Amino acid sequence: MYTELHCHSAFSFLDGASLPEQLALTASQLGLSALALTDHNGLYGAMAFAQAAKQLGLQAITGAELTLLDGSHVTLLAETPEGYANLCRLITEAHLGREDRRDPRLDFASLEARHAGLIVMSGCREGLLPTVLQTHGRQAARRLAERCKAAFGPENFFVELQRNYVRGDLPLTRALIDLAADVGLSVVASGNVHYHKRERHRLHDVLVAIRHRTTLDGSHHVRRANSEFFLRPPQEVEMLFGDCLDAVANTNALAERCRSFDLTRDLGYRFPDFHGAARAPAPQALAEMCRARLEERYLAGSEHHVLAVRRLDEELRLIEHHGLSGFFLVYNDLFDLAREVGADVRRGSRRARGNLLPGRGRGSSVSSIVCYLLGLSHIDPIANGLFLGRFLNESLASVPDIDLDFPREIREELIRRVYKRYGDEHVGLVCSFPTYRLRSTVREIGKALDLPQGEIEQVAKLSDSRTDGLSDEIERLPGFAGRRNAPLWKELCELAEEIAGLPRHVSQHVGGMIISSRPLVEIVPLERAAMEDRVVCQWDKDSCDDARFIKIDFLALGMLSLVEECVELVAEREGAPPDLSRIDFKDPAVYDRICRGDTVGLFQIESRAQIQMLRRTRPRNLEDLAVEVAIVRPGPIVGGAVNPYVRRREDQRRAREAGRPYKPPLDHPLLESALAETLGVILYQDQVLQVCQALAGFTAGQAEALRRAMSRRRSRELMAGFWEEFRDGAAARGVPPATAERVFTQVIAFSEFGFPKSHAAAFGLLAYQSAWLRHYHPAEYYCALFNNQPMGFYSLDALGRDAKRNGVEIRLPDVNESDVWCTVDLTPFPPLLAGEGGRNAVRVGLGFVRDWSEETATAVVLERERNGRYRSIGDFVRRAPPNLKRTAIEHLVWVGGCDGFGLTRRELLWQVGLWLPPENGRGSGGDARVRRQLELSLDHPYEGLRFGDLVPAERMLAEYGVLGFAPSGHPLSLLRASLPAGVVQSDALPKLEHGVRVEVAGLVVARQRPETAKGFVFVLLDDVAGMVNVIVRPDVYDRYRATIRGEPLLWIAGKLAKDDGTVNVIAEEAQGLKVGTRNAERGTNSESDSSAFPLPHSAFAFLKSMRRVAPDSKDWG
Amino acid sequence: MREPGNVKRVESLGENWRMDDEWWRQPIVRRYVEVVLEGGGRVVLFEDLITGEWFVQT
Repeated sequence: MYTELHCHSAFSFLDGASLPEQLALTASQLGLSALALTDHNGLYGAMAFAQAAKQLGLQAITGAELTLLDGSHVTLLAETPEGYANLCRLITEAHLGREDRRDPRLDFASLEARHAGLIVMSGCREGLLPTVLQTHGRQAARRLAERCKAAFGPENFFVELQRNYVRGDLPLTRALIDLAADVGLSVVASGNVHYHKRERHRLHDVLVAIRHRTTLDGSHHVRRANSEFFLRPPQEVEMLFGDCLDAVANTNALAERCRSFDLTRDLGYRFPDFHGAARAPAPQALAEMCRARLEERYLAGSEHHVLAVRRLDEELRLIEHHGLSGFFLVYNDLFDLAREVGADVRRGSRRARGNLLPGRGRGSSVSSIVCYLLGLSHIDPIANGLFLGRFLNESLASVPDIDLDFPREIREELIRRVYKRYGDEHVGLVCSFPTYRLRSTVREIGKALDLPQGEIEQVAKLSDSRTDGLSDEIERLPGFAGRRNAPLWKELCELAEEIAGLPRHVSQHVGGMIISSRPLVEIVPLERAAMEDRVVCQWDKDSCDDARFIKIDFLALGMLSLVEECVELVAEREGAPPDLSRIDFKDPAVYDRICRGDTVGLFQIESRAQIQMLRRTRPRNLEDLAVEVAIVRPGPIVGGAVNPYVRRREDQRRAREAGRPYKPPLDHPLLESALAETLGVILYQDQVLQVCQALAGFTAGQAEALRRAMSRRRSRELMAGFWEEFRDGAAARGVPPATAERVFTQVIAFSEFGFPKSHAAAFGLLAYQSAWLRHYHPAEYYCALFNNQPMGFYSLDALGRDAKRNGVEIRLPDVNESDVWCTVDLTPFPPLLAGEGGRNAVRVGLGFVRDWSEETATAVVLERERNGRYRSIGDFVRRAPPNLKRTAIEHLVWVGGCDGFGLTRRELLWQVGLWLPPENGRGSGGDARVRRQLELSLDHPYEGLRFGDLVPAERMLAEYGVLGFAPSGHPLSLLRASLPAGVVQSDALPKLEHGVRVEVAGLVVARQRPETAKGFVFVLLDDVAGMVNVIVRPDVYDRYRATIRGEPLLWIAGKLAKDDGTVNVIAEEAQGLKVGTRNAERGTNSESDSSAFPLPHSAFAFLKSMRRVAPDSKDWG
Repeated sequence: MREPGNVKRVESLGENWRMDDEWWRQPIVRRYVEVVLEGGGRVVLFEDLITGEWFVQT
């Protein structure tokens, strides 16, 4: 028999074409009893591999192939737990000890110093010994072999032999056999596996081409010579090594030795102790702390006191039962640390007095009273009736997640302090492995296949983002019909399916952090993240979960940063910050705006779909808002919960108005306790567990298993596996099979994304606070919104127009008025036209101007503060920092940033050109200015030349080109007279009859093709008056796909659909916006077109230029 | 081994190797064998694994 000891998976990143699970399954099918995974410089896939192998009864050997400083390879296998710890340390050293984080290499001396418990093999053709043998000859190889023998011991160092039917394998392995015999070392056979089956060699070739940034043709010399690097049946290997069978026998002997370490069993991870652990045992310390705080939060005799005491007793019992008291106390320590960080970050600011929490809980932990009492959650679980079982239950199989949101600034500092408190070796961020998505797949494989770049771009841009079914996608694309069977395109389609699900690179998980009592660096390798000063561990959240690590989730939430800034700005204007924990949470004015769907820019309730839902369900309190946050999610949508909920809510309202009681229909009476509050449908994740317990009698253990399944990758398959238990349980309770099936369909819908109620409640509260801030402090709110991008559903362009509709003017940057970032502008401003704004204004910061950096903007502002306002364009050019290039200054001029100097923008541009010659090459602009410093203060003979100003169309194009948004107005306002005659503006639509044919036109704000929408596409258009929601049926989408996916300005003709307060246009025709014949050729007072933003001579020309500078829409699906 | 007008006995077989290339265009799949002929001459033969035909590497 034979054991494969050298095997790469896709976690060798572009040098392996199969997932660890595929390799484990194939090994098992081939009858191997053990398999080693030895990816390059990492254990990224080791845990997934070990878990998959365990399920199959296959021994998983943990190892890696490390790159040494000279580029040669060495294969290491963990024989013992100590060997595994050393392997982790060595891999970490290879990554952290290098300047280039993408080129990990290990000093051989480090391996010599730290090899206990490791089996060292001499590597592949590029391995330690073969490299020396081939480049320096036999004597040098012999010396190295003797050095290895002395360093590692003959029982731990093996000469690796590989035969993959590559020319030269035979003489090389024979030379290695001789060498081993001379030195007294043993040999071991290995397959250098790079894919689980022969057919995958094509994908492997492509990955190699991608790695070398070239085509298949161009990568001939670096690709493998043949398709022989697959997982081979043991009998074939025995034949291959018929002349040295001891090399085969040794594979089994080594596998046997490696049984002393099992990754799924021997990690030795321990969570750190809590502060004060020496004084009292954890359960006692936690109970004392919580009970004391409970008496403060729930006064004796108050409404919820008895329930709170009961709930706390129950939680403390469960926590002690699972040995988690210390875990909660460490979280308490961390939150204390967060409080310190929050105070430090806010020190000196006005918002320090705003009673702001350092962070907030999210997710299922918000349902816990212990979390509430420790400050880890800000939502009262008793008052809100939050179900605990999703977070804590009797049969908990893994440590529960406590997720915390922080403003970005506080999170950054908190992460640094956690490293400081627990030590660098004990802390690591969880990584993630983004997989290939359609665009990257098409671009990268297309390039490797040398397909025409233009066509590849077209496919990447116009296809929907699903890698499976690319063949069908291509068939539907205009101009590509028939290609799917054409040479190269056929290969592209096939390879796209094979690559789907393979990891593309290592990234950082959004907030997960691992803290370990034992040095983490001995449990999982660490490496540098793309962000400076960040270290990630080599496992993603699933592997960390399998390792039973305790993952701490510190998430950065842009809306919390926005709230911080907004509160600060309000305090600046009013003297005191608002206390957001004490605002009126039942304010009708705030809810009225929410019910109207006036929620652009608010937290969680701003999307196109959510606005429609708000208009239909009309929330009037925080509980309703929690529903809004939860309902427009794939779980409730796929489960068919949305429309029944909306209908029943309307029925309930009518019943209430008529003074009648309302009882929502239920699939079965047993579901009443679980679903009554959501009118008989499943809206929250917790209800999935409650339903299974109520209808099918699931035990706590079954519910826990279901809970875990719900949060894993491939959750649908895992959840579907519960069907038989559910069906039998329901039958035992007398539930008809059809009912059980119907309810189970809703249950497995939650394999798609859904929220627990606790999370929805926490986010609903923040949604309300954002609405309240925007209602009462609009200028501060929009200012903070601009400064905290990117976030949410809309572009700055759409947000700016929404601000204007809500009475806040967005003012262009000004060299004498603007700060680095946006500010609330309190200076007087000419009155706006009716309906075009109010007393509030936001001044765009200099940092928003193209080619300006935060550094240059800061320098310009500081100079102004130190030495007074800029008096002229010459004065500005003279005093501006040298690294502010001429083009950056011109950009500011183009968008009116120097209008205050009293010249037209053309005159200003002319003068900039006089003072600063054109930039030729890097840095020349700055140098030129330094050389011309003396000239700047003198009058220039041509300074006085006069030019006319820019026309509105030119200004708008400049704004889009320089800022990416247009504060001065909407492009359609300049095309009014030239638009197709039938176009109706968005504000006129509500007055029209349902079903009439309409034409609309606008700038595309968002395009969505949700997986849950059965091929329907939703397009949000923005016209001068507001937004238009367009629904595109699949057949219409197929006809106009290129237009709908690619055009920035659209004209749509279709039927008006009005329902429950929502207004949609059901598209029948779509075109890129074209101006009508009337006035289309009319000029726009042009004077010159020799500028960076050419003057549009006509509506046609303007539209053409607009297509080039229009802001990108936000596209999903 | 038989060449036109020249028949030689195969003394022994040397290394054999395989090549897979250009699968995206006109696939080349070959098995090569190094052959030692009587009298000491060495030639490389290959089998086109798609057509099953044998050739002498020139």
